[in-house]
Amino acid sequence: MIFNSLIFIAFFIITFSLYWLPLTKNKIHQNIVLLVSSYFFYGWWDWRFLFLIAISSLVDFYLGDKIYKENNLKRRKLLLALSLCINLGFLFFFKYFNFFLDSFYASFGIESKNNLLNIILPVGISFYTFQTLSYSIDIYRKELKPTKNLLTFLSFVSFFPQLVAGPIERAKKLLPQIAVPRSFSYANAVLGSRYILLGFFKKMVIADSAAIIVNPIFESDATGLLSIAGVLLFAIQIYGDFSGYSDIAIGTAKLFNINLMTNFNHPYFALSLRDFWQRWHISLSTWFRDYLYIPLGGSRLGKIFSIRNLLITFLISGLWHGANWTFVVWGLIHGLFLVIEKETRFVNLKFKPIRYIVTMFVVLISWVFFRAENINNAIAYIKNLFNFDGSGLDQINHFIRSNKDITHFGFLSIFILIFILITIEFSIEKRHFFKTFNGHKWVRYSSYIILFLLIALFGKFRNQQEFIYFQF
Amino acid sequence: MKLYLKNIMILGIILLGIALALDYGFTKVFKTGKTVKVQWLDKVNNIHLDYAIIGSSRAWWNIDANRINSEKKLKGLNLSNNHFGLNEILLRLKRFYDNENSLDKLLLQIDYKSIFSESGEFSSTVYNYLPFIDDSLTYNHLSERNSEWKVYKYVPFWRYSEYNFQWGIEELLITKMNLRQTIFDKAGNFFTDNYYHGASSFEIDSTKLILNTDLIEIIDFCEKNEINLVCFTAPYYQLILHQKIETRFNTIVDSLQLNHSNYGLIYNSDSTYFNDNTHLSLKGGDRFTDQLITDHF
Repeated sequence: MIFNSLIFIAFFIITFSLYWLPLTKNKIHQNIVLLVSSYFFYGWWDWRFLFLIAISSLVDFYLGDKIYKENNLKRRKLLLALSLCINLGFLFFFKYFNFFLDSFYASFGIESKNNLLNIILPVGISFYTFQTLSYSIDIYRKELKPTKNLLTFLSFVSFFPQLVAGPIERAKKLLPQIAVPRSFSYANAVLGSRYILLGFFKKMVIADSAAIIVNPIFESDATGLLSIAGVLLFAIQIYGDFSGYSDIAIGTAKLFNINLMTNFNHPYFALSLRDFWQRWHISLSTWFRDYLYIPLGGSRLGKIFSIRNLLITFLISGLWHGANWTFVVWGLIHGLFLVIEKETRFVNLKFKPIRYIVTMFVVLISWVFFRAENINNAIAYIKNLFNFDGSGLDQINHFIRSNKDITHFGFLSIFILIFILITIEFSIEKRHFFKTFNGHKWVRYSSYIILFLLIALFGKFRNQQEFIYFQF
Repeated sequence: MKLYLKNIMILGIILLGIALALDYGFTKVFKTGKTVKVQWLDKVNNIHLDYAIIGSSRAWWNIDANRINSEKKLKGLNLSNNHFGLNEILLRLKRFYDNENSLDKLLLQIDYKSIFSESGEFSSTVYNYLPFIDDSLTYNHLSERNSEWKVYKYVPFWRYSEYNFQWGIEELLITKMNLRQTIFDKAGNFFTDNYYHGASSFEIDSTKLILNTDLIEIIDFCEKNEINLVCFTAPYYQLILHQKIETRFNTIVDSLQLNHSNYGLIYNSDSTYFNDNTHLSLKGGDRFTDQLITDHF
């Protein structure tokens, strides 16, 4: 079940009604509704993987309690290792087994097709695995008390708005909210509705429209201007897709009066890579910071170790995104440039436009690896970015004419829509608009209506594209 | 909660009003257009034809009704459209008669794909009818076969949102400002070129050889309206067919006592006669028009 479908809207209305209708602040009732609806939501893809979530949840519920009660440090470590092994074991098997096997065979020049297992990747496994891991680790670190209530814990792990693509919530933040009865909050519901509306705009209007142009460009031998348009549009597509999902997730949670963490903070306004990672997929980057980078030693052990830790963190972050060497390279590019940025004191550069251009250049080049099928394709695409022979408006014109799903109007309108998105983002970033927006009812209503109209007129309703991050 | 629901309701009512107004405006503009074949066909009224050709693109591309008209002194049109399946052909015939038209002879293109397609199945371009569902005949025909059309009729503007890639702002501007030239002529003909683009594989699932009952409805419709029905199978560049399919096809043609001419293999593997595997080129269409004149007029 994807957010941008009629079935989800029907599902949400039923869940929302059941959750609030009794109007009793009854925690058990609310959590039963959340748990049943979350399992239904997830089971809509493939009910068999419900067992996986259930097992993963039960293991961490049981081990979390054991870790907390255990005083012997060695045994605590052992119990934590057991939790890590089980959770990461599932993740490794479903997501990486074939990848490593394939890479192993490939290193000996052996064709591996017949030796691979037929494994289906469970949707969102990387997200909920990291969420449950943080629970066990936080208990081990004595930063969190385990919950005694199984229903609360199961609802925390499977909370449907963020189950399949985040934000990856920390138990410290989400569990206490689920552990108490919730009452309806008008302010939160209004804010949530705004998030949802903006999320749908980003996903259905921006990301899905961009996808129609991006996909054939990456499948062709586009050069020069067209290939530049392709990578620019992919950057917008992946932002619209993923931040749109996060907005809908955050907004939906707010309608249940549950607050999730901010996952995106206008990343394309970043002035350095460090800034970028403080704005892009924040729940993941802070997870890696707290549970990998800092435990490795962070920047406390000197320059060499600091560089090592940064590269390891970004290599694993890349691999987290997908079982493909392209993601590893993507992660390494970011890690490497973060090191360069740190060593050259890039952030001290006073001239902001240069900082912006360099940052976006690295981000865009790295997106090519993220999008390409394999490393060779990515390298070829990057070479084409700088090849202006026979490219230009004629090539774009020919590209539009030879793709039945693209028209000149559609090609132009996507750039106008992106401009609207940038204006919205800029207004939020600079907070210019808030005073007018909050001060006048007609401004608010006009904004909602304009967004609804843009979705109705330009949104992609047929053959909706799944959210890109579902595959991770 | 009450305040929230109240505000949502106010917004909902405003949006409903806007949707109703937009739906009305879009429909009105789209109905004035004549550059999409369905729009043009809808404006054919109060005429009597000696014959009409109908089918998918295989009965449309490069078959010259003008030449048939001039050589045989007849009045005829090509009513075909890209992707037309039997279901939409039946709807087109119903609409044709509903517009006070009539005809003596119908040349219906049937082939191994259309005859065994699922009864009531729509083609990928059935959305062409979206602006016309205010008409009860069109709506009843479509909604009986797929309940989605009920949503399109009763949820204002939903139809134009869901299909905004076809019936959206772009088409609205094109129609309103008359920006597109028609790709077909006054007799409904569509001509391409002699360029052969290569053949894509042509496969039919031999396990689902169930007759599309829309064909029987078309036969009944012709009988009721005293139309002389002639079926033909347009030429293929290459046709590799399972014996089981051919036998079943012939059995159906015989059992329904269809007046059928099978031209499937007459220009077999001659690429100069084709644009691709299933569509005649300008040269092929010219030659095939001769064949139709000789055999049926």
